[in-house]
Amino acid sequence: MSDVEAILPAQTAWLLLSAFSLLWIALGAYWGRRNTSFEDHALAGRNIGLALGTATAAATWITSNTTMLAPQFALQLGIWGMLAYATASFGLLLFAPMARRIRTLMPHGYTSGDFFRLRYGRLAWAIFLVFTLFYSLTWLVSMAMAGGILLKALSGIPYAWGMSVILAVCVIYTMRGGLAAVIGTDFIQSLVIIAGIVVVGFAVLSHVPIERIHANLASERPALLSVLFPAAIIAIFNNLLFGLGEVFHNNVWWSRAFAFRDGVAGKAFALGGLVWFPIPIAAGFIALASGALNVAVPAADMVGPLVIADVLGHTGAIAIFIIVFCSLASSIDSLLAATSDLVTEDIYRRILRPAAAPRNLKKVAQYVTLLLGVLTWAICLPRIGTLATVLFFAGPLVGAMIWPIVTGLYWRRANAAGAVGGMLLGAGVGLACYFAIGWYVATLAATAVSMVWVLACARFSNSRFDWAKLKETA
Amino acid sequence: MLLLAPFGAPLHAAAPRFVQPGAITSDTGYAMIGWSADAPVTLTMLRNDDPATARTLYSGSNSASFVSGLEDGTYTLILRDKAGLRSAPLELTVIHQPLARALLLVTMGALIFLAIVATILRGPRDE
Repeated sequence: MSDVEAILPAQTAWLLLSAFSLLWIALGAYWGRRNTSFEDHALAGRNIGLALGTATAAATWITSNTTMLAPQFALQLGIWGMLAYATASFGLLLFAPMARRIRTLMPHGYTSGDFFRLRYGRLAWAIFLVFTLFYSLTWLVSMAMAGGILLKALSGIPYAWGMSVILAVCVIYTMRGGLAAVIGTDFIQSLVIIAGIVVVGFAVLSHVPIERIHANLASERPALLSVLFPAAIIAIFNNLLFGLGEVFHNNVWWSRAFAFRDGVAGKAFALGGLVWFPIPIAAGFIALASGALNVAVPAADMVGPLVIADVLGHTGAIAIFIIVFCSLASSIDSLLAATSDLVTEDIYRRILRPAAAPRNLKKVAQYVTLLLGVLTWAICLPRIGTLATVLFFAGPLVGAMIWPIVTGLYWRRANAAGAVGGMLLGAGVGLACYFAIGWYVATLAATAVSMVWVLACARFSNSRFDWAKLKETA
Repeated sequence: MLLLAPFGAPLHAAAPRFVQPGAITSDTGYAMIGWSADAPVTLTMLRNDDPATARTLYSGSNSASFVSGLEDGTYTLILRDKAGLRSAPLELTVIHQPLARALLLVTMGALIFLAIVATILRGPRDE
């Protein structure tokens, strides 16, 4: 990426960065003004409606990976790669009925950690916390790092400045406004991202007819059109299961399930999934047009911005800068909020200070957000390299949690032995496959092993869980 | 030769060269090709040493190019600058992963996915 010349003048980039930073901070302060308790701060008073709910589900899932990695996937793995990336929407679609169930079973719940603690006991809860905190911190660091790298590549803004500004802005408005600010800004960010991608898609199509794109691919990159492209078809289910694991376990999504008004969660996640599905396809299509447009691609991860800048010129450069900034902010703020709530609820409140007052918990959550921001900043500053590979390393961990969560929500027979063994065996075998075979089988292997163990334990179990235990009040 | 110096041409321009130390292989059909050169270059590629398949992949001042969508085969890449200096050829061998293994993994993934969908859509089983 360092070989690519900036496509936007640094002065314009700083202007855009400043304007959007001020906007998010002002909105965060405005939306957070009524937060008095931890419940207000962490779950927006459990009163989020359908429009905001749908927008936050879609916007949080549109990360910088969606706008930057989806084109890369299409350029590397063709049509299948593009569709493989889009399968991540199944995470949201399948979480829709799960969210309804979660609201019914846990009307007073705060975090996904609450579910593991109440459903499977402290050992499974501890394993879950280790897995999810590793995943969340990795995702957070990779997003912040991607922010600095992308802003530098797009505009020449020094890495440390770009990364620091994005992170600081998200920390400030998340601290001030909590989940209400995160969801409110997500709404605006999702509109900006979707409008931007649609405009760019039509602009590309108006520059080059689809027949020419097809002819170019058929003659110069034939494997990208092949139905039996081995690496691409392997990626489909590995990516799909990774997406399911990410959504099913992470507090980013559980906190939203708890925050949505009664009857909203299922519809919001289903609509969010449908809204999200075409985004990677549109973004990927841009990459497939690069050959027909004669755009030189020195690095796969820059194909999206290069094509957009080529087609739309200066306006395109501004558009991609805003899209990238919005997609980064919408994910970083959600991760900060959800992870700080998890630490506050599961570690501070449940282990360190069980008698803590709600108002005190809100302050703790704000300080945890600040600490997470500082920790992320300190890890990102030396720019040790890309963490995309480390994020893939988390694939077996999240894959191994799918079956304990799904069966734990629906089957009384599901038990702690199944959950603990499923997570440890699945993650162990998945990581072994990651190193012995490759990333493309790691999540698949982890999910398969975890499934076999969890189902076997449920099959031979005599225990029947009492659902009422999940209705713990604060 | 000295008269050319003000126009930016180095006095002793070296031939462009690939940064890859030797032949490269890919099981995905894509690869990143990097090079160092004192002047703009043209990157050409031909398949299985057949001159009829030669095509220009890139012309300009970049120092890398990403190729993808290649089918099984041996590809030869050559850099040439405006002065006519040529790099040593770089060989790229593409051997895609076995299709049987890919289909096996796809089948396995599909079964696991369907089992997850069935469990969720079927809902509570033993309440």
